[in-house]
Amino acid sequence: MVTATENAQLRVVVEFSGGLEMLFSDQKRHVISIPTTDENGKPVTVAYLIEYLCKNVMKDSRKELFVLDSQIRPGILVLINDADWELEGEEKYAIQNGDNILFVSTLHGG
Amino acid sequence: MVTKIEAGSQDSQPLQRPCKKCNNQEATLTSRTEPVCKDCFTQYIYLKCVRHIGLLGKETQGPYGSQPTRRYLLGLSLGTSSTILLHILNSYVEAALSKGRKSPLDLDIIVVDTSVSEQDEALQATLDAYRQRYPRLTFEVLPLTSVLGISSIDWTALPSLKQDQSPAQQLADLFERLPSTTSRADILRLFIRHILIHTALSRSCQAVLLGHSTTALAELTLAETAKGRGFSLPWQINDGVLPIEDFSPDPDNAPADKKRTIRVHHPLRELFRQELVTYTTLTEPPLTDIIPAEDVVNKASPVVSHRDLSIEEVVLRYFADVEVNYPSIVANVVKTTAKLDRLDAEERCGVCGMTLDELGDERWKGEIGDSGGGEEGAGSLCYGCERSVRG
Amino acid sequence: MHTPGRCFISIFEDEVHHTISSSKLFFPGEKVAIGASGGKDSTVLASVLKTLNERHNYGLDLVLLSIDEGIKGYRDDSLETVKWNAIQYEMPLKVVGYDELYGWTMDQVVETIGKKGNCTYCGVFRRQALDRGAKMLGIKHVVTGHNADDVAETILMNLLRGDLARLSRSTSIVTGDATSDVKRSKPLKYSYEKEIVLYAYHKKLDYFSTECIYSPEAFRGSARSLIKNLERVRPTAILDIVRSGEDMARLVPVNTAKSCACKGDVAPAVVAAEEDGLGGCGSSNGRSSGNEMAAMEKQLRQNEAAEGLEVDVSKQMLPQAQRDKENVKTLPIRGVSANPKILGKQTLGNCERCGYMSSQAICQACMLLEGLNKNRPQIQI
Repeated sequence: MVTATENAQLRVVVEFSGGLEMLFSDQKRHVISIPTTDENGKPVTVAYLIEYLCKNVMKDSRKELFVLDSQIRPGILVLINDADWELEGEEKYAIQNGDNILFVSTLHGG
Repeated sequence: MVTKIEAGSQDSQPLQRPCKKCNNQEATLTSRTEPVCKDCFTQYIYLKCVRHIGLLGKETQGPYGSQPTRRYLLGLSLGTSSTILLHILNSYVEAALSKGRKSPLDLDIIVVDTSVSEQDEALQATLDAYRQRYPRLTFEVLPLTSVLGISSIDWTALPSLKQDQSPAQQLADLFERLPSTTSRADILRLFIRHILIHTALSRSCQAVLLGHSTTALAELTLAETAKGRGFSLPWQINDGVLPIEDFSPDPDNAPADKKRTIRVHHPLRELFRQELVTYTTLTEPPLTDIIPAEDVVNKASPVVSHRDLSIEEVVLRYFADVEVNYPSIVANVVKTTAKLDRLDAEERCGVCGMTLDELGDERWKGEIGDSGGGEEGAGSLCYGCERSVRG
Repeated sequence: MHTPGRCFISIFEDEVHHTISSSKLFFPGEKVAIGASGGKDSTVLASVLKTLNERHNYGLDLVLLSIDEGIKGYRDDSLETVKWNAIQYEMPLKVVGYDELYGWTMDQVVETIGKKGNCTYCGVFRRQALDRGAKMLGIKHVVTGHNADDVAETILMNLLRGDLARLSRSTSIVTGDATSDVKRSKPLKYSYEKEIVLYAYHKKLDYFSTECIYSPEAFRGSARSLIKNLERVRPTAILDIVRSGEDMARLVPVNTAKSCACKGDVAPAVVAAEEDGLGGCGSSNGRSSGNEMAAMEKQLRQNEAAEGLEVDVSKQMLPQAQRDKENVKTLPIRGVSANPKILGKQTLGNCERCGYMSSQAICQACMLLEGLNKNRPQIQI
């Protein structure tokens, strides 16, 4: 009998705004579960989350509107629990359970 | 039967793609959308450069057409452009000598060693190769530490140096205290410039020659704009006379006329970087044999992560792209800047040496509400240098 | 910028207030129209102005002014946002349509000329529409939501274009003066786009954020992407560019002897289609696109060739550009203006056709309309 390895999961609320939701089935708010550690056993970071979103949540083929040269596209703001991600170490920030991550595009006229 | 005679030769094969300029040889290259042969291409590059040298010569001519020896300082970064400048100047001198005339110019060739560590073998090996290629010329290396104490910099405006350390350590410490990668790249560039100008002044050179191509000047324009130095662009980009301020604290040591001047010229300013790169493969022997790899020269900026770029690097990448598809735009940026007026002012910035813009500063502080202002007694800096030094 | 919610909102509002008061943008009792597109910039502008008007007693009479380009599916939605804003901010709303102003909706324009150069039309029409709409309401001051990123981008584009005249105008916070009918200002000129997005987020403001369906999605190679990359390296670079631009504007040589910009030294190498460089697509707010670069390159090469032949460049440009339905527009040879008023580097008169204020004999909108109306019977399916 094979015992399924129990992977602890993190519950993360991901929000998209400023038009980005268009890439994610027009849905602004997503509640997702991601593993606590990545394939190297390291705690998951925002970088991991971004890749996860591209692989599993993005429904549009235009990946370059979200990620460019394996980094978040310049012009997209990221807020971690309402604070600018620059304060938290940007993509290196280790995600905690219940975190709210917002991606908002600044790239539209008005 | 009448044999069709092709231009150039009677019995060789007709040219598939004749050179647009001489019609005598196969065109193997494209220059500014025209097919040209190797000789015409190298000739074009040579003449563009030499024309500027000639113009400079006219402007530094003595009275009544007398010919004082033109003495110029060449800033050799060991990169493509400055090496080409060196090569062409050498050819220019050789051409005159071979006709029995005296050398039209004396060159002080300076390489600024930007490593803050000691002896550098790779650099020595490179210089040996250059010396072998150009035996008539003298190459000097000045360490970056020779910037310390230069009077055209207001040292009170920079983070204070630790007197008990070695010069190399003092510099390393200063750089570490600058706010960002961009700041470090910016101050480094300014230091190198100061060293070249100071050396030229102390040897009574008439001009400093730099190897900037059109592309490099366009990059400089945009980078300086992005750093808030729009006001000083005409001074930085255009060829001509620059007043050099003296900030030495000791009034007894101040030179007789406080405002010295030096010419700064960029003879390769009408050529695109790509053209220059091509040129390095066409000389005999090719210049690519002696031009060193990037990391021999660029020690001040080690391999950086994606995020740790400087403004210069961002602009460099931007123009590399633009130059390929829209070269006229690149040239246009430089031409546009050339049209701007050079406004002089009483005071100059203590770090970059450019004119201070007091009117602009006042207005900016008013509209933005910038609290600004450094410590008491700190030197006056232009907007761009404030940003670089104090963040 | 690094402070959470509440604090951020008040800092942002204080900064805008400072800009407004030190530039003396308004006077008490003034009627001001807010150019409202439903997008983030104008939504934030309306919200901030309302707040500051009340908090600091500017005494302003604020009105929302919205333009309907007539693009089905796009404008309908953003207009809904504006209508909602009007209710939220308790401001009167005036909607002016291209059809009532020009007899053409953008849908109709695109049907006629296709998707190349349509942004040019939209931009020219939009700019005039705002002014005309304001005049209809008896208003002489229009404010737009242009932010620091927009201004920085315009500066870089004008540098790339070689358009010094436009460069100097694009950096002033107010354009137009007592002699012009309607003046425009940009109270958010020193606010980063990032701050505007964050303000809208923290204040939970609704805005419309989809790209115009007709505008080309060209981001790479444009000045906009350069700005964003610079921002990533040094966030203050955007304002530093604005500062550079303002300073460079003062270095532009003044050509008092020559009244015609296309013969003077300050003539741009490439004339952009829009009067103040902040046009282009009505929705993209003057952002540049890859197309513009290609068009500029082409124009510059033609100029170089023309200079080589020592032909009057303006004449040389004319036939080429008329065939060229790209974003680059050539001004026609100047006729005598009805009321020449020297304003800086260009003379301002009135359009012979419609009376709109213009530096040409015939204003740009009328020029474009002439072309459109000729093509009307030839609409291709």
